[in-house]
Order: sequence, then structure tokens, then C-alpha cells
Amino acid sequence: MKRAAVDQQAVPPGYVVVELDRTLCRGFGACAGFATKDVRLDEWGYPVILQSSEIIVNKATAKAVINHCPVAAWKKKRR
Amino acid sequence: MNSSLIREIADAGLTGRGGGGFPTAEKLRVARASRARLIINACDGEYGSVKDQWVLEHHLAEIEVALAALHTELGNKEFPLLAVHRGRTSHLARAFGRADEVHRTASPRYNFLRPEVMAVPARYVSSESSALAAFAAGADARPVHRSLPLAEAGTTTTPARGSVRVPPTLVLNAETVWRIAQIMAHGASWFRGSGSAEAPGPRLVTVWGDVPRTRVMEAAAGDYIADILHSANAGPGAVSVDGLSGSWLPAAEDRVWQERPPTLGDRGVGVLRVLRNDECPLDRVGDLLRIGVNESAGQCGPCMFGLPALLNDWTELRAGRYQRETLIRHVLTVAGRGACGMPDGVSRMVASAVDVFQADLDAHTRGSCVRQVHPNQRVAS
Repeated sequence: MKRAAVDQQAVPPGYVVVELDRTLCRGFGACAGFATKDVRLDEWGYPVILQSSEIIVNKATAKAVINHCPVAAWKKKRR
Repeated sequence: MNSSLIREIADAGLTGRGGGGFPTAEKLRVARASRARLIINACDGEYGSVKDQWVLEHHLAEIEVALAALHTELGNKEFPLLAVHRGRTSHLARAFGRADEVHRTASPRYNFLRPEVMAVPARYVSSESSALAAFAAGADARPVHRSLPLAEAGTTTTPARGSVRVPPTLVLNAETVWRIAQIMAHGASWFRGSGSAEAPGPRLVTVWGDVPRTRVMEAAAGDYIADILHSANAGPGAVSVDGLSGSWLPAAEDRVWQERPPTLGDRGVGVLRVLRNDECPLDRVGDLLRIGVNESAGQCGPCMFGLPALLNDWTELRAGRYQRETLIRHVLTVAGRGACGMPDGVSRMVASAVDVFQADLDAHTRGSCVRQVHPNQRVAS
């Protein structure tokens, strides 16, 4: 059983947790253009992120990452 | 009994025997709160493992007693499922027959519950817990992304796979359920009589390869692997621990066996495959990588591209063109980046091989082989 990757208490005000469904991701790489600090791309164009499959970003970045993914692989984490 | 069942399992310190080694009581608490469906994983998904089959053949009756208790505990109305790989079901009739016999002659009478058999496609990743849960819900047997733990919230398969809702599902390995039955019968302190502080109790190990016959043996975390191999009359070759998801140990001549004798870990499925001493371990590492590439569900990029890249690195290395940096970079790129743990396990297995088989790698770089005449040399002479 996987433990939650991000401790919800550690999310600063104004920030949200956005998670990546790797089974959906096709390596378009748009996310890396918006969340430049939190997402880089590997040699095949797939996101490399710090915390397993989640990033903590401010709301504007979250919105951009979620809305600009062509396959909707990024989602705001429910809690 | 029932309200105290989880406490007893927590006191026993039982951890999952399917590889992950997660505390079973913690899983059960979450599963009870969400009234999760129960699936027993008896697929023996790890390469070479036959212990789940062994457990069913010898202890299905006990498993069914534990199931009756777990079913009441979880409060899910559906029948528990017993997951086995398709095409590996010939032992089931024997197992059920024996269990019937045990139930019939039992005195005093007790409650038991027969699970429903679920035959899943015989692929490596199809026996991963979210793949089993998805299959039970009517979707493909492929790992699914989970936002929260499967036993707590279930998940939903991707739109490409029809967005099937997967209810909260508790997946327990067959040996884990048998251990629950033992804890019910003998108590937590009996269970803590063996094993380590982190992983108490007995655990099964499959020993195969260079042994007179494949065996399933009872061992415990912290046991010397050399002792287990000795009891199995194993040869002196290198040892693959836990197949695709594991690591490597050098041949018996290596100093490590004297200086820091390897022990059975707290986690892992429990598979020891002994290589013949004239077998090149680098070839066997390549075999495992090839299986990893072929068995990938082809869903996540890092697995889809990373594993073939690793296989390519390994093939180069096998041929004496060893590019350590590229290989290590690919190991690091793949690790931790899949919906399931498969790419993780495979990349760690390769990293371990690089550590353990340094002499073999050096020999191959020089165009020879420690274990045998290198094919290149054979061509030259």
C-alpha cells in the first residue's frame, strides 16, 4: 500500500497539490513550460518530478499545468 | 474475536508477504473503514516464485477460516476473490479437494468461507494490486493510477480504458492470509518468536535453479541466506533474489559471504534463484531485463522507453562496450516513475547487478568472461 506522497499539512497557503497520472501522460511536455521549477523532462520528454507523482505549486501554475495538458494527465489532488 | 482480530494482527507485527512488506493491520484498518472488497493474490507473479501455489495446496483450509473472519471484519457483501494466473490453475482442484477433507474432518466445527476463483491474464503486471482490483471491477488487468491508497478509496481506470470505477479493494497475498490464520490459532507472541523486529514471523522462500529440486522453504527475516541455500543443497553460483523486483548476490567464492553474510530481508516475495557456476550472471540479468521490457503494460513513458533503454545499455555492456554513466543515468531516470512498482524494481535489480558483478563486467570489457569462454573470444579463436 502506498502512503500519501505529500504531507497535506506541508502545503503552504495559496498552494495546491497537483498529481500526474503517468498512465495517461504521453510526454507532450507542456507542464515543464509552466512549472519550470518543479517539472523537468527526461530524455524521452516525460516529466521528472521530485515527489513520486505530485507537485506543490501556486494556484496560477496549477491552473496552467492542468489546463494545458493535451491528455489531461494532471489533476488537482482531491485532498 | 472479530473486533480484536486486527489488534492481534497488529500485535503480531504481520507484514505483507507479497513483496511490499506493508503492515497488514494498518491496511486492514483502512479497508474496514471503507468496507473494501477482498482479493487474495495467489498469482505467484514474481519470476520463479511458486510459494502461493504451495500455500494453496497445503493450507487452503486455514486460509478459508481466516477468510470467514476477515469477511465479517470488512463488512463487504461480495465474495472474496482468489486471484491466480490463467494457465496456472491445475493445482486448484487438488487444493480445494484437500481443504474439503480438512473441513469435513474438523472437530470442533468452525466457520470457513470459500473464495471465488478469478483467473487473470498471465502477465507480470496483471498481478499488481491495482491491476487485480481493476480486473475484478470489469476493466483490463493493468496497473491503475491511484490518488489515494487502493484499500481506502479505490480508483478509476483511465478514460482510454473506459473510466471503470474500481471500488475500495484490499489485496492480500495468499501467504499473508495464511499467516493471519496462524496468528488467529496461535497468537501474536507465538508469531513474534521468529523473524526481525520490523518483519516478525515465518516467511516462505522459493529456492530454484541450481538445486536438486525446486523447493518452498520456511524461513524468517534475518536468516542467513547461505543457511537457506545449504538446506536446499544449492550449488555455489550467484543468486538472484526476488527476480525482477529484487537484487543479486555473488557466487559462493566471493568474500562477502564470509565478511558480511547476506540475510533474508524484511520485504520481498522470497525467491532465491541459484545460477549454475558456469552460467554468466550478466546473461541472466539480461534475461530479466528482457522479461521486464516484454511484460510492461506499455502505459507509463518511463517504463515504455526506460526499460528498453536499460536493456540496450545492458546488451552493449554484455558485449564489452560498458557505458557505466549511461546505464546509471537510465536506472535513475526510470526509478520511482510508474503507476506500479515494476520499473522501480527492474531498475534497482540492474543497479544491484552492476555493484555485484564488477569482476564479470571488467572481464567482458576485456573481451573475456569469468564464467565461460566469451562468445567474442570463441569467434576470434
